[in-house]
Formats: sequence, structure tokens, C-alpha cells
Amino acid sequence: MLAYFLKRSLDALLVMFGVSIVVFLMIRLIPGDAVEIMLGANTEITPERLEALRSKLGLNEPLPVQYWHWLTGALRGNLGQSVWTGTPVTQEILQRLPLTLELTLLSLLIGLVLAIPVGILTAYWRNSGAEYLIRILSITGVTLPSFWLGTLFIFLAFKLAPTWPTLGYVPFGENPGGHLLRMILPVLTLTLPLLAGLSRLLRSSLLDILNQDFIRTARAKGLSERIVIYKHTLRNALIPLVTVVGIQVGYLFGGAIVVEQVFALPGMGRLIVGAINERNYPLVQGSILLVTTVFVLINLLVDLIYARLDPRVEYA
Amino acid sequence: MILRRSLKPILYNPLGLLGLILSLLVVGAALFGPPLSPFEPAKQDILTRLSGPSPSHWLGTDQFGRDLFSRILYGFCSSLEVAFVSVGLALVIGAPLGILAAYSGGWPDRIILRVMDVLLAFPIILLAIGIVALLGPSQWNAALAIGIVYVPIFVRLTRGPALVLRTSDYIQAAQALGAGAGRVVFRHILPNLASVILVQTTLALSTAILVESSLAFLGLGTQPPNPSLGQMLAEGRSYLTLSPWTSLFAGLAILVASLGFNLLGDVLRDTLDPRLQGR
Repeated sequence: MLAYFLKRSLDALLVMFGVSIVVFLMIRLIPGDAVEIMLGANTEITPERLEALRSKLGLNEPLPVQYWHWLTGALRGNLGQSVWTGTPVTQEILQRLPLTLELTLLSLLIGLVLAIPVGILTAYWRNSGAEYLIRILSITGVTLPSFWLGTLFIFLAFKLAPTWPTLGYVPFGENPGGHLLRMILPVLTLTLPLLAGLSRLLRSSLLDILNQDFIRTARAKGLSERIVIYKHTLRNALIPLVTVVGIQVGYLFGGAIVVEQVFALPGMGRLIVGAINERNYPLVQGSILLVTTVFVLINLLVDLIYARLDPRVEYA
Repeated sequence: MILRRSLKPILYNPLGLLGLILSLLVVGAALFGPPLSPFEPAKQDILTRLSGPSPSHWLGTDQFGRDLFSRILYGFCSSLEVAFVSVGLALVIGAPLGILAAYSGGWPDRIILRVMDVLLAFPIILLAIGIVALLGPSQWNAALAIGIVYVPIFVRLTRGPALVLRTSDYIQAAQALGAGAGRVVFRHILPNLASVILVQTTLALSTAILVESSLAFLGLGTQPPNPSLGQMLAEGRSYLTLSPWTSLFAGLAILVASLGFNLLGDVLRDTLDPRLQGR
């Protein structure tokens, strides 16, 4: 187990090294002069201003030296400063990240919890007519554009409950009730497609396992259907669900970026899109680096949990 | 021959048939819609702005009085352009890379896999947003971004089966008969991967349509005044309480396009991989 843990961690470290190079090169690969584009988007271009911004971003040194400065800075939590406000990028991100994480994790949790009963119920329901219905519902769920779903929810809330605050954000500390009330629709928007995907996966793995010999044995020796389903089938069927959690977090995070835009929530999505529009490249870079780091860590964690859950995983 | 083999089961499966019909409708709308559309997509008629469906404007009009039906036809066109170009790009780069990795083994294999691991480490939309950010928002940059993001899918898809095929008897026989690497790859390995590639391409088209419209929704895809479904939905949101039609129909169009390809790919996967029947 320790060997597996070390190997997997080393892999993640290597991937992060690659990610850091990609993110570092982003600003350098911009066609044309990145500094000119950044300046041009906001003020008049003068040679002095160009030079000042260039040296502020450390673009005058050789590439490897730039990378070394940038990387050592990033490891100490210094991702540079926003071009216009001069605020440290790390600080801006840390203000916005919690909301996006809250959206992602709440949706993941609710999606997982609901997927289990839905998966079990639909696995029970097996005849050709129902088969088609379940399949078309789950595929429709997966292909629902989140920004459309969110917009429909806002419209429905406006028609049915005009006093419901659908847009905007209240910090949890100031008004816990108002905060949660505003989170319901965004979370629901993110959860539905996830639920469709997860419950379909669970259903198919349940059906696979129900056909196995050990289930027949369990029934033959007179165990109740309840015990067969919950102790023998469900526990095994949950394993594939764990493996996709890591991937789903990535999808959810991407979804959250879009859904924040729909519900006017000040999370990472608004930050990144805003930063792109004002050509604030250090902020774009820092956001992508930090979010991807979180994503890689979550995937690492999921892999380690999976190795503990499923004794068949090789630890070598 | 793969088309003939896969077409028949699709026609006999209600969902496959539905997927096929929806996909053909959407592709037809994209191909023939623009010349047949009843109005110019950019033609404004301020007097009929924000009207609902009517005999003259089948789906209603937007905030400038532009005909929604015509704009959606053009929107299908630009969405599908991006989807086909990006998935085509990912396929053309990814599949040879995957086969190359499997066929050569050793360090090329390891390097290709490592690079793909790095690309896969980014959340899809985030990487696409990052690429668009550096290239500047436009329809073709969105296509390029989605294409790059999708490359690892095809590398992984082809590498596994190619690895198995490489050591199979008939490939070894071909090699023993003196077939070079090119002949082995193109004549013997690639045709055997056609079915997995076909399934994945169809499914990738479905998700590419969603990613494209997300980018357009965020203002990072096709730029106005060119119509695009995601951007129409975003614009319609400002007038949601006055007239929900723009957002409603634009989103429905995205759903239909994505759903059609997804159903098709899903049923194709069943018919081409009998082990997955009915799941």
C-alpha cells in the first residue's frame, strides 16, 4: 500500500510539473506581443509603459530563468499580481475559490446520494419499454446544457415564486438562510446532469453484478432479497462509482464556471471570464494553475480511496 | 462496410432511429438551412421585437426583431462547424498518436502518454477557456481549443486496442510477409479500430456541441453579429421576463443537436460492442 501511495503521488507530481509548464508557457505563446495586448486593452500604449509592464511581469529574462522564478514563487503561494489593480493573484483567487468549491462539492454530494436510490430503483425496473424510457431520460440528462437548465429554473422561479432571490450572492456568514436559498437553483442545475450520468452507471453495474454466480449462491442459500441487494450487490456496484468521482469533479468544476455566470455568483468562473475580458493574463494563469492543482489532488485522493476500497487493485 | 453493419441495428432500435433522425435533421438544418431560411439572420425589424411564435416568425423574434428560426438555422451551422472541425482535428492528431504510441512502445509511448496525462489533468472547459484566452475569442479559435482538449480521448481510445492488435497473429503474419510499418498501421490496424473510432467520434460530437455552446455563452466563441446558439441564449437572458422565447428555443436547439449525436453514439456502441448490450 505504501509503495502504491508513493508511486501514485510521484505520478501526480510529474503531471503537476507538466501542468505548470503548460500554464507558464500560456502567456508566452500568445500570438503577437502579450504585453502590448494587455496594455492596449486598457490604456494607451507608450514605450515606457510597455517596458515597465514587461519588467514587472519578468518577461525580459531568458525563458528557463523566468520559469524558475515563476515556479518558486508559485510554490511559496506567490502567483504574481493582477495587472491593473496590483492585488496579489493568490488573494483574488482565494476570495472566489470557496464559492466554486461549495457549488462543486454540494452538487457532487447530492448527486451521489440521490444516484444510489435512483440506480437501485431503475435496476429493478427491467422490461423493454421501461428500458428505453430510462435510457432516453438519462441520455437527455447528460446532454442538458447547464446554462439553459439554469435559465429555465430562473424563469420558472420568476413565474411561480416571484419573491425567490434567484440571482446574486449573500455570504453564508451574513445570512445563512439567504445564502442557502440562493444556492438551491445553481446546485440543482449542476446536480441533474450528474445524477443522470451516475445513476445510469450504477444501474448498469448493478445489473452486471446481479447476473454473477455469487449472487445466485446468496439467493440459493436463502438470504433475503434485502441482504442480497444491499450487502452483496450494492457494495460491489459502488466501486465503479468511486472511480468516476474524480472525473466528475472536473466536469462539475467546468459546469460551475458556466453556472456561476448564469446565476451571477462571484466564484472562479466570473473571475476567470472577467480576467480574460480585461486581458489580465497573470490572473488567468494563476486561476487555471490553482484550479487544476486542486483537481489533480482530488483525483489522487480518489485513487487512493479506491485502492483501499477494492482489494483487487494492484499496489505495485 | 462498417456503415452497413452498424446501420441496420440502429434502424431497428427506436432510440437509435430517434438519434439518427435528430442528427440528420440537425445536419440538414446546418447544410441547407442558411439558403432556405425565411429571413436574413441579421435583419432587424424593431417593430416586431421580442414577439412569440407566429405564422410569419415561426419561433418568434429576438430583442432586435430578428427572426429566431432563421438565426437558429444559422446557429446550427456555426455549432456544427465547430463540432466537426474540432472533433476531426482531435481524431486526425489523436488516433495516429495513439497507434504510434502502441506500435513503437518504449520511450515514444511513454512520452506521448505523459503529455496526454498532463492535458487530461485540466478540467475540459477550463483548458478550452485557457486556450481561447490566449488565442483571442473567435469561432475558429474555439474549434482549435476544443480540438486540442479532445486529442487525449482519441490517443487513449486507439492505443489500448492497437496494443493488443500489434501482437496478434495476423499482424505478425503481415510483418513476416514484409509489410512495412505504414502498411501495417493503415491497412491492418486502422480498419480494425474503425468501429471504436466511429462510436467515440459520434459521442465526442455530442459533447463538443455542448462545450462550443458553453464557450459561446461565456462570450468566448463565435462573436456577434454572427449567430451562434450559446450566444443567442446568453443575449436572450436579458429579456427573459419580457419574452423567454429566444433563450428557450436556442437552448432547445443545443439540446436537440447534442442529444441526437449522443443517442446515435450510444446505440452504435451497443451494436458494435455486443458485450454492452442494453446498458
